[in-house]
Amino acid sequence: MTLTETDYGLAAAEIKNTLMECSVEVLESMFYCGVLGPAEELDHPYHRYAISFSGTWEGEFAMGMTEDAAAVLAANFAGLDGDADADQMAEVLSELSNILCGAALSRLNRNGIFNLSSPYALAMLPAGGHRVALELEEGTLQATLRLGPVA
Amino acid sequence: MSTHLLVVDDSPAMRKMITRVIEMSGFDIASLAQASDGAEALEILRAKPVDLVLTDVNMPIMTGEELLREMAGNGMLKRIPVVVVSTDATDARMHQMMELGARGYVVKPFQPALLRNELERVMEIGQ
Repeated sequence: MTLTETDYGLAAAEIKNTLMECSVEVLESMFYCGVLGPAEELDHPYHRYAISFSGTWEGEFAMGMTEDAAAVLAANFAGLDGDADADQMAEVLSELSNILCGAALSRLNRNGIFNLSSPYALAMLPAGGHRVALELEEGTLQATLRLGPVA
Repeated sequence: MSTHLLVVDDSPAMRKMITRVIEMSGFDIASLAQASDGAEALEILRAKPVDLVLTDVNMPIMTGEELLREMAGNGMLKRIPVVVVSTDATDARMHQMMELGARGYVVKPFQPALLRNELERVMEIGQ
């Protein structure tokens, strides 16, 4: 990943490490799901959500995951004994994208002010951006942060 | 004394999660209302007794920042303590919300115990 003029002077490694650290903390503290380590990027993640942001910086955060990861994360966050239904899963995964985006931006720029959009479903994950993929106890999650104006 | 709580967040999943933490924490809760944005919260605040508000920041229609401004400008509502629960951990945002009158700030992600402790702290100050 090469830096562009829209990366606000950040090093690519810093962005990637921040995404990784935030994901681990969020998943373990609020979704009760262990992270085993880095994973191969997903070709076709099943659940895909994104959030655009404006303010001090603008850009988009996107997230995708495998079906088994989505099922575990949704059930854990919602405190369910069984499986989450489609609505519960959408609610929880939307909130996960919100928490991950907010956490990453706050760490990358502690003095910034950011306005986050409501989460929205994506037909496919965007190309480009800074990406991390994590192997979870169940399944894989991939997060992408694009800094700069989003077309 | 039983407490009337209001949870304001545009995420139904987060409202349910916060409600679950509060219910499991053993607080003496008289009522627990929910709103999905600041405007809905203001309607509830004007219609029902509320002792403590927990609010997100980024919400459609009316943000948490706008809600705090509205409450600060109302003689009755400005007395109600507000705890912000947000993913936004920037110094600028935290400073802004505390300047607007928030009594506490919990950053997501949080452990349930952290939210519980912050609510206890704010409720004790209010008594």
